[in-house]
Amino acid sequence: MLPRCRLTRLCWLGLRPMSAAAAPEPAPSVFRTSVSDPREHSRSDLGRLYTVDREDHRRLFQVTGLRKSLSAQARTFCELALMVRQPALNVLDSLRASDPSRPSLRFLLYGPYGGGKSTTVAHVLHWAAASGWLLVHFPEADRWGLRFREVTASASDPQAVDHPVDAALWLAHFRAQNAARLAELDLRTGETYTWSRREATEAGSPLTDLVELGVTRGKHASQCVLALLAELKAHASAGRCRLLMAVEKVNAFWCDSTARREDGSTVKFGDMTVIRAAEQLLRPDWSGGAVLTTIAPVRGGPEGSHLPRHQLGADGWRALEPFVPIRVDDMSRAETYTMIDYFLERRWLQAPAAATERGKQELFFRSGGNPGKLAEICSMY
Amino acid sequence: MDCRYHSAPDWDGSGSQPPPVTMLRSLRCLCRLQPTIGHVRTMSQYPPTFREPTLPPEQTDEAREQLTFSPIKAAPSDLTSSAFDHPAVKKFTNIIMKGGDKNLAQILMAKTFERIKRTQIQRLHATRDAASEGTPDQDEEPVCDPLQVFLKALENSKPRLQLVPIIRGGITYQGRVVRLKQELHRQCEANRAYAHYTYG
Repeated sequence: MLPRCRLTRLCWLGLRPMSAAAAPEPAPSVFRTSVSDPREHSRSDLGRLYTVDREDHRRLFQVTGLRKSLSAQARTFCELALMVRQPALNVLDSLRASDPSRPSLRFLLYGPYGGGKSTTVAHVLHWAAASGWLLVHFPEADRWGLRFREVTASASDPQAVDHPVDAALWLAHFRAQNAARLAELDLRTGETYTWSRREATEAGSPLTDLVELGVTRGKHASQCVLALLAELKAHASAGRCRLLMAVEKVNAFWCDSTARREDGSTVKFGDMTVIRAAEQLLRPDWSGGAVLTTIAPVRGGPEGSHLPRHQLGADGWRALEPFVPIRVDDMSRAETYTMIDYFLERRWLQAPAAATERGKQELFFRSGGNPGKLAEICSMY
Repeated sequence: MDCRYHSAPDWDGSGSQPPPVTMLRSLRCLCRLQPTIGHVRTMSQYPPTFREPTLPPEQTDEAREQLTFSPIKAAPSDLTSSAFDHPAVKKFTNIIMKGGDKNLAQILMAKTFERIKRTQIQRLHATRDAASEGTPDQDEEPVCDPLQVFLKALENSKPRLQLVPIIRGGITYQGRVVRLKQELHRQCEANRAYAHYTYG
């Protein structure tokens, strides 16, 4: 210990003696939990990583659905591991306790960039798939208006626009996620849909027919999405299936897109057939399911705060209200250390300094516990 | 002017040797004659009383005791206490920098390292999965540390040198010659007859 007079002097200079600055030793982290079934996750698994079953990983996120950075990480590590965190458990607890006969619960995840909102959605999706729910998953809703492949004028509505390629790809994503469950449930269409003079889907045909038609006929894909989601909504309300509607970056729905009509006018997100299809599941007029949304700043939207009222704007707020806001925040020190230990185990952190206490302290300090930032920093070492 | 400042004080225990006595003596003579050029380091913006800045891990209690009331030179902008710092990477970042855009240079370095690591680690896990039974052979593991790959690449890109005896004024010196270059020139000489095929 330093002599008293020197301590006083150092404090006066704004310096802290090294002995006093040493951080308390965090508990040694057992970074993996053996519970790989999301239905059995509980408080005891908090802050630990679980490995998503390889088959589930392939089924749920084969086409798309994970953030680019996370899917790259899963490819590199040859496994997908998600951390069991409080926001996901909160959602799961509410879903377990929810009454299917009551209007669907609506959750809104918000929080800083890179905080783990999409990862939370992935965890809830995995739970829902394991529990036999049908999944309607829109990863990155801003894609439809900002990073789309092609838009064409809709045949049914002169104001609306269709996405021939993106909608077909989305239906492929839907099919990959739900094929097995749809075959078990054997849901049938309640209406007849006429696509052209020769093509029609009769009432009473399986819902998979709608999906197949959309995947193979891009021209009708957007209308297929509209019909499919209307059918699913009716089935869920009638109690024939449970339905999880997950939309990431839902705030994009109330923004302008970069798409233009032939007369040069700007297309709003609300003018897109696929977004109209999704919006009908955001309304509170159905039961037997749940809605899970996230918000994040999008191009052309408001900048600055990530808080719901600012990002959604008046229209979005009105459309989503009432919802359960759930904040997905940066990780705690213990969670960050768990993540670092996981990276070390997967050999992702190669620098010898990363295994030392000082290196871990530095990684926690530089990332501030933000999972995205931590992954970004660790990618170099 | 007091000449003891001409040698760097060994206050930080780095073990830097003071200049030999003869050199000090000659400097002292120099000072007496021309006091204005007394400093060994000319053009320094700091008087010799200023200390070099140090980093937290080197700051022992004694060192801090000495530093508390002494003026300290401004720290260089790239001085860091990071546990992940490496001088070769830092130097290379400065070399690839264009137009003073260091941020871009650092991003490029980071992305390069990430790519190297991603490729190697994917390979590592793939081979492990393929031979999931038994521990993998340590010798056959790919080098995953991007820093080691980088340093090895740097080493490989250096020209090869060899010593050749050169006689100058009756004395044989061991001169350094770039070997590859010499061999290349020898080959070129041998194939000079076919030079006209170059543009044909």
